[in-house]
Amino acid sequence: MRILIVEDEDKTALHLKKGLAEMNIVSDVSPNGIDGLALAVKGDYDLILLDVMLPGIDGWEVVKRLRDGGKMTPVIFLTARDSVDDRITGLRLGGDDYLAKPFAFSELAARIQTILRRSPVLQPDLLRVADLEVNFFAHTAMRGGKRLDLTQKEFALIDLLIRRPGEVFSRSRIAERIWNMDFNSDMKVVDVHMRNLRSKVDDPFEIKLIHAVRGVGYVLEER
Amino acid sequence: MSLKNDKAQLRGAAGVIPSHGWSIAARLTLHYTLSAVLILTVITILLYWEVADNLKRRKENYIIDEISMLQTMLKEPDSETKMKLELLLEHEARSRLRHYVRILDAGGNTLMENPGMEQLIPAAAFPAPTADYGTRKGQVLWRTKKGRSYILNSVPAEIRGFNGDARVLQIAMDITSLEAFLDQFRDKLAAVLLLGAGGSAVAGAVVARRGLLPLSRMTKTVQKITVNRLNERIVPEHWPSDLTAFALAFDSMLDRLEDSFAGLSHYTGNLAHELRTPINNLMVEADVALSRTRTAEEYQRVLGSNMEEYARLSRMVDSLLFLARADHAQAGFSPAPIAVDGELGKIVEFYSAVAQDEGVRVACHGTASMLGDPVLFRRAVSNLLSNALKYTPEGGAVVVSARQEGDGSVLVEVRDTGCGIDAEDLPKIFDRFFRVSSMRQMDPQGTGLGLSIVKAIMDLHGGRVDITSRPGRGTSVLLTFPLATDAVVRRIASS
Repeated sequence: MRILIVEDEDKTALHLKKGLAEMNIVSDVSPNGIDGLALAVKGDYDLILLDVMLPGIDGWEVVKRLRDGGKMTPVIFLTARDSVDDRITGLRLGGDDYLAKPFAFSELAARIQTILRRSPVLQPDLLRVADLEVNFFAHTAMRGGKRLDLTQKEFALIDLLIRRPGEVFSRSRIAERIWNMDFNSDMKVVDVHMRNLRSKVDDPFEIKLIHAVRGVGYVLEER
Repeated sequence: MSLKNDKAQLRGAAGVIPSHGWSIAARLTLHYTLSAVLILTVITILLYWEVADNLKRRKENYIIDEISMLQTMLKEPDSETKMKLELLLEHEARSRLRHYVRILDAGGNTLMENPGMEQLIPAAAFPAPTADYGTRKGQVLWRTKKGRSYILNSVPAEIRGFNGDARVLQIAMDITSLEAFLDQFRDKLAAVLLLGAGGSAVAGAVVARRGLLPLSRMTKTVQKITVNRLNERIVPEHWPSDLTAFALAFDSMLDRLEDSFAGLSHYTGNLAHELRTPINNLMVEADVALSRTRTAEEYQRVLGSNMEEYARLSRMVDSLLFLARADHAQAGFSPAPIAVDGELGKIVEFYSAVAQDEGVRVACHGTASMLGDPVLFRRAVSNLLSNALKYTPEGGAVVVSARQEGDGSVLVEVRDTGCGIDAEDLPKIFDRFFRVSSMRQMDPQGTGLGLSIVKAIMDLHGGRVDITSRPGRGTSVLLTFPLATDAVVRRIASS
């Protein structure tokens, strides 16, 4: 897998490259729109991370020319411009996603995986991580053979986490997905809910499955 | 940019702006002049008419009188001698308003006439005799080639003299001097008219210029006002009453400008201060961490803590951007029907875990439905609920309630039994970055923007937010959403 990063801010590009490398993804960096476009046309990339405000030609133009040239490589816009209009422009021009700066790297990683995995996601009836077993059909969760007494929202939380084991969910993403709080609300609230969930899922057991990633969010995995 | 530049730019801009139409002074002058000319013209025409008409009637009457006198004279026995005397003497005596008389017989032969009359006015020039000389009907105007004018009349005459042959009396009156007088009079009137027009134009220009003097004085005063001298006002000077209203309006605009400038600089100061705190935390923490080698766990802890500060900064930027956009337009305002009780239930559920944690009871009741932006609605209510939970101690209660009013408006109230807000702080509570100092400790992660956002959201909905508080007893925040305006409904229809 290979990703092209078109970003004029050296530090940002460097951190992105490092982050991707730790996900075992190789990436190339281009500091301006013209070189970026040339690389995108020539190279065979699986995904392009594209800044909007670039020297030379801007990100909008890069995508436009790329699509006009028939190149359908998925594009994620990374930009400090986050008005609704900008989002719409980006997506209309052929971008696949739009991430406003500042963003957490875990958020970007999740979006990259979503795009690269765009083939229909399997909707299994049953998922298992270690001895935790979630039955979506029966709407039940078991651990070590014992049924967990979860509220509806708690079940929705474990549903969210277990479908993407190992993926870190930010608090704002959790608040948005479970409670429809699609703005930067009080993130402490998510912590309290997660604590309640962990008290039922993890506290009585030796092996902990739900982990807090400080400053980022939560992940469900066997460590 | 320096102030000097500012000023120069202002002037430059004023010079570049194309002015439409004439200046007020020119317009006023033109109007003065036109109306003066109009009035003068009417007056002179009437005057001329009156004089000309008067003269004409006098001339006519003069002839009529003359004919009547001659008729009487001719009826007397010695008319012939008397007539001769009359014609000679009379003619010599009158040099200005001369008249001529001729007596004809039945065959049209001259029996008697003023000396020299034959050369001036031939008998054929006269109209046929009419008995009715009492009106001007029979009179004829006759002009000679030499430029003299005469009024002619002839009447049949019964005369004893001249052997009874006299049959026709011809009388001519020389009106050349009268006409010349009338012409002169007309020329003088025209001169008066021209002079009057010129004079009123000059007077009008002077008056207009003088009248507009306060305006240019006002302009000079206004030009003195710069960003640094927003406290300048133009009213204290004595303006004519017409300009007072403008001056007052201008001053109240300056008041508002001064307020918003003050607000802006206050806001910028607060913003810098609020940014300083998390950045300071980050710097100190990183500095300490880098001062010696540490274990991986320690680095992780530092970075995690940094992430929290970054999140705080990021939240702040998001909130500021939201407020900036809300200030400008209704960008991003997408209304939809909202089932208020359902939304409130969800928000309360979201916060219930925290409430339980803090030992605060949360209740929710009432039903209502409205049109509004669901995301903004949730944001406003959850900001209020979050505040209420923060400032309500263990054992307290928070009640969220909704009510639909008769006029269709929706009231949403968040009432707590918390610490309350001092009366002196209440007016400032919606200011950006304002935080009640005693509450800073209770919520170190707050940004002081929550209530500003609530206010902005209510403004976007055309609604209002009212806050009442009793220190130590609790606070109540009331959101009033008016019945969706036409504009909102139209927007929904078009989307």
